[in-house]
Amino acid sequence: MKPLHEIFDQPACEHNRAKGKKRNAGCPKPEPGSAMGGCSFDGAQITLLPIADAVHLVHGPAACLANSWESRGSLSSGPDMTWRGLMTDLSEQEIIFGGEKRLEAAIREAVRRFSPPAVFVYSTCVTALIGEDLEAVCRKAQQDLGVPVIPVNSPGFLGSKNLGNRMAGEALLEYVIGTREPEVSTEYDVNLVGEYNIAGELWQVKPLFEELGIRILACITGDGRFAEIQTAHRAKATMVVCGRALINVAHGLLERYGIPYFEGSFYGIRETGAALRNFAKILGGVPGERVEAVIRREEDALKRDLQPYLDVLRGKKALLYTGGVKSWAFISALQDLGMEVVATSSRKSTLDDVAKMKALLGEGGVIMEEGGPKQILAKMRELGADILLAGGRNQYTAVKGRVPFIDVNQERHRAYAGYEGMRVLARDLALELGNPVYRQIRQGDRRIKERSTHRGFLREESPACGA
Amino acid sequence: MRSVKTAGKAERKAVSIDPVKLSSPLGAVLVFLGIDRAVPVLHGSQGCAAFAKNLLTRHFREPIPLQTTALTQETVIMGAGEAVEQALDNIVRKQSPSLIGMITTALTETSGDDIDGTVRQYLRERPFQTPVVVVHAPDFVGGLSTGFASAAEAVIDACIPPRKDAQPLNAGQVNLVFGPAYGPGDVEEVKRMVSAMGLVPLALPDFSTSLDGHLGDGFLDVTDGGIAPADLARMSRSAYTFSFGASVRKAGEKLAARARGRHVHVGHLNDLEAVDRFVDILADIRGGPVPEKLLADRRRLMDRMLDIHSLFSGVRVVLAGEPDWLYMIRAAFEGMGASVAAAVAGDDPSSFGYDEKWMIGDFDDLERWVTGSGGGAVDLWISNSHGARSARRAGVPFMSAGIPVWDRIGAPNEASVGYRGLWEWLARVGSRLMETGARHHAGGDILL
Repeated sequence: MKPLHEIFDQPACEHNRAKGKKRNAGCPKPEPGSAMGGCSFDGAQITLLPIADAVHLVHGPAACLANSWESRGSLSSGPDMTWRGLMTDLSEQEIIFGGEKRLEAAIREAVRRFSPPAVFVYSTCVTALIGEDLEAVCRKAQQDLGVPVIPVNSPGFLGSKNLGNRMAGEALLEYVIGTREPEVSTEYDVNLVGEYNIAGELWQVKPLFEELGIRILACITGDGRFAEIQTAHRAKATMVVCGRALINVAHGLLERYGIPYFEGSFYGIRETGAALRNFAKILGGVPGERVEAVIRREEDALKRDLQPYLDVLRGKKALLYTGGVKSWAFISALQDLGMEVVATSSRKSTLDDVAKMKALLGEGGVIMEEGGPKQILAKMRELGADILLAGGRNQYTAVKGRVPFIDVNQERHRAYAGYEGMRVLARDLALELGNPVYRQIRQGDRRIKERSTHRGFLREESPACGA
Repeated sequence: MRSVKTAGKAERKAVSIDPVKLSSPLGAVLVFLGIDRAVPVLHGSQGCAAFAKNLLTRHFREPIPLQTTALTQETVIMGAGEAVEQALDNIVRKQSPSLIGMITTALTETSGDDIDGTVRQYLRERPFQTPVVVVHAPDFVGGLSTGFASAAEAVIDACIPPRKDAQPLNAGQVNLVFGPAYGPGDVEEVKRMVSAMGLVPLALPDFSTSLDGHLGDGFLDVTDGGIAPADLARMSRSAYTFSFGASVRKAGEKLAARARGRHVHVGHLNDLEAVDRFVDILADIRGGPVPEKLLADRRRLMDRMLDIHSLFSGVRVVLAGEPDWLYMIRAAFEGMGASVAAAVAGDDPSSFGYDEKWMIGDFDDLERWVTGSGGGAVDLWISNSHGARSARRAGVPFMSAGIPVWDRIGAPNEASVGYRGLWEWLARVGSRLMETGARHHAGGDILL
């Protein structure tokens, strides 16, 4: 695996383009006592766990896996290794005297039990600290067992989740992509990078590709299969979906195999259309008229279907608190629905992302820096926002603040991609904004709390409850 | 206690598959969530806290004010002192908690970080600062129960000063030290019984007011409820200290010693005999009859036991969870004529004095035990939500309990202890048995 400084050295990532001391600083470091996100190990797992037929084995003490398995929202249409929890669960003795023997035995046993097409082995802080030679153990196991055994060197203390995504991407470039040829190759083979099929979002856009005769050769890594990802080097174009965290994979595919890439999103009407048009442009062979016809048909159908919701949503104010690309991609989706985005956040976003946000939000738009639940709620009050769109972590920020909420992050259970996703999003937003619980709580709370003394008589003639 | 046929202690497998185990730091975090306006901090990389926070949020459906020292490779190697100070400064400034729990992890225990020294110096340099309780909870020693016990003991050491001669014991005040098997609903039920007897309960930890799922006035970034630090200090005046579950037996003894009062250990409150015994002891302490309120609950419980005992008779269940919980739920089933065919513990039962032959293993062990030759017919599988897929593969009806539960609503508020808790538990489990058409195995263990 590459040394860390080379992985930080991502020319396509603006965090590295700063001049002077800050150059190649890489992903920002977490702050003690106020960091809230996941670690690099978490990031690596988010990226690789959707490969549903491979064994994912965590080398470390209990917490890294025991507290985290079965918590991600990626769906699989077949194998279920994404939701199995395998770990070496190192004991104190093994940490003192080394855990490589145990790791070797664990890989062997995992291969015997599940006969997987590959094993991903994740290092953790403790195994990195005691200097376990993950690469050597994996190399030897691969020779002995005849199954690809891939070291993923992304211990939590490297830094943020984003960096972990990137480390996982490196592992794919280094050990997986290019190790198998596809059975058939076409001029219309493409890769999706950074699409994790959360709640089935890949499946919302896949039919569009099929209709246009574009084959998704490898989805990295939503509903992923190891053998498909091995063949990603034969694609003719790559789309980096909603997130620059895996930009290194797209960049690697370009550098090593000459595959052009573009960045895009499937959130919103404009973005989905743009993604399809981009593919058509790059692939050349896909007739532009056909793409335009499909887009027109879908947009017309969507317009009809959205009508009942638009009246409810028009002019409603949303505060969008999410990371990276989603902070602008969702602005576009919400504006497509006639809503006003009064603020968004720039955490984990690149300069490009921020520029896009500014362009979409216009003059009055507020771009929040990192802020806790209290700041989010204060901002909502200040700007008169009707609804919060954020990650699952902030679901209870909204609950305690008594404000409507939609989950837009990776643990969510609802799929919002493509035209189909817009229908779901519009419906979810309308239902959430109109839900009577908010009115009841707001009004009832006032009534009950202000009632401090016993009045001793009923003021109304024939009082009724629930009538 | 009758002996149960179990599969015995399995050899440690080469790889752990689908763990029952939860981490020791997670257990320690829980204790601080039962103290009012507290903030627990995991001393490790930010993922240690993020995972624990995510798991607890999913279970309780509540925001969890868990913080992190967010160590990086550099701070681990160069020394974490500065990160710890920065974390404490940030938390005090932004959250102004009543108490901070600084909990180590596998990472900081392996790197040999001197957290005790750092915190001692930090507090020396900033007198009148928020108290900081250090808990050592390496992941590689034990599991959730171990960390929970360590934290309970650390809080007692740090926050409850020994009673002075000039301070008389308060005869009507009792301490309740709860183990990890007592969720908000259970704690509430025990407190209710103690109050009904005319005694004043002080619970450590007290989840019944912090993790009970209530809508407070706005968002709090510290715990919203739990025992107040002032009440913690008052615990050394209690004449009696009860500990609930073997994992906190030591903590109970320690607390009773601080008060120079009596200690009563309660193994479980999950069958009628055990609850009667508990009420008997409370009545002895208070002096006087058992109040009508509890007698009414008891009459309902007895009625339900008779109503539905045939649903339970001869039924065989398998369990996976923390040792205290296994012990409690086994008692509940055995009290109704059902038996536990196999059980897997997430933490080492022997380290808390249990001599039951529960397997220490994972869901995969239980799944294979059920499907393998040793399995036979099993009517119900109870474990946390992680067990659902294993149970489905094994073809056994599943019911979630323990931590984490995400496949049902309200699980943290459910009780299984005391007259009323047991009464509710019988309805829940009985309904599930009815739904699945439990088979009443003729070949089930006849308990004589």
